[in-house]
Amino acid sequence: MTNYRVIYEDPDHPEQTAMVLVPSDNWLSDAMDGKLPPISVYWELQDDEQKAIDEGRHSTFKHDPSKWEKQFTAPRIGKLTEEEAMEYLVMKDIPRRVWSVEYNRPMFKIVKKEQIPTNRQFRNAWEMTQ
Amino acid sequence: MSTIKVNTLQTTSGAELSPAKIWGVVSGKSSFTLHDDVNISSATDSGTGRYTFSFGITLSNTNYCPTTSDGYNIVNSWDQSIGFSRVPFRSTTSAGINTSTHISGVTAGTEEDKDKLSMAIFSN
Repeated sequence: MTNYRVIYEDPDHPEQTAMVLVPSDNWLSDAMDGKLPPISVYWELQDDEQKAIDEGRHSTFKHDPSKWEKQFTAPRIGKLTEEEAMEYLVMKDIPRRVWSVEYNRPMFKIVKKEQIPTNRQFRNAWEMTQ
Repeated sequence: MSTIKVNTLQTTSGAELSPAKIWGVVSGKSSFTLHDDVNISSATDSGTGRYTFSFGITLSNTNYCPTTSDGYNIVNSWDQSIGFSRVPFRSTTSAGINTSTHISGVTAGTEEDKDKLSMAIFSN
């Protein structure tokens, strides 16, 4: 069972509390067994869906079958370490604006489970610091 | 262990069977925990009673059926009232689940963390 967590803030919603991402142990196991496609496969699908949202046609949107199949058919990228899998997960599950843009303070951090407050009141008041 | 790979499951009379393609169970009380899942890559705690499941597979469209099950307010003990859970947003890569207290009738109260909160997604 992984001890890693990711905390992040959404720069588009600075009023929101810091979010805590917990990886799936099953997914992490697949990543470390080398069962993942290149991250670009997921990004391409995300980009297509975002375009549909921006153009107001999300409710009828369907992925291009040839692109969609790639998540199952693209050559696997090989075994990842747990740390590499966490970095992959950040790039797959956290909005790109959080980790691909440089801000005047960090917007995400990979931390150990013990570093996260278990008390909800503390957690809701939490903000990322440098 | 063997793996069976098929595109369609049917009964002997030809009726299609559709097992949940994605499911996950989280606890929002104390430490946020993803207990178990199928085809989920991560779960995110976005504040009191607000969570997101990110899918390990991208679904082909958003015409899927998400079902949620509200959990306990106190670990392994019913809260003497039924809570509310709902799906505030969905995409082909993730879906949100919010939980609230129960006030009366069909009125949802304030958002509240629950223990053993689950979501299952049925999709073609």
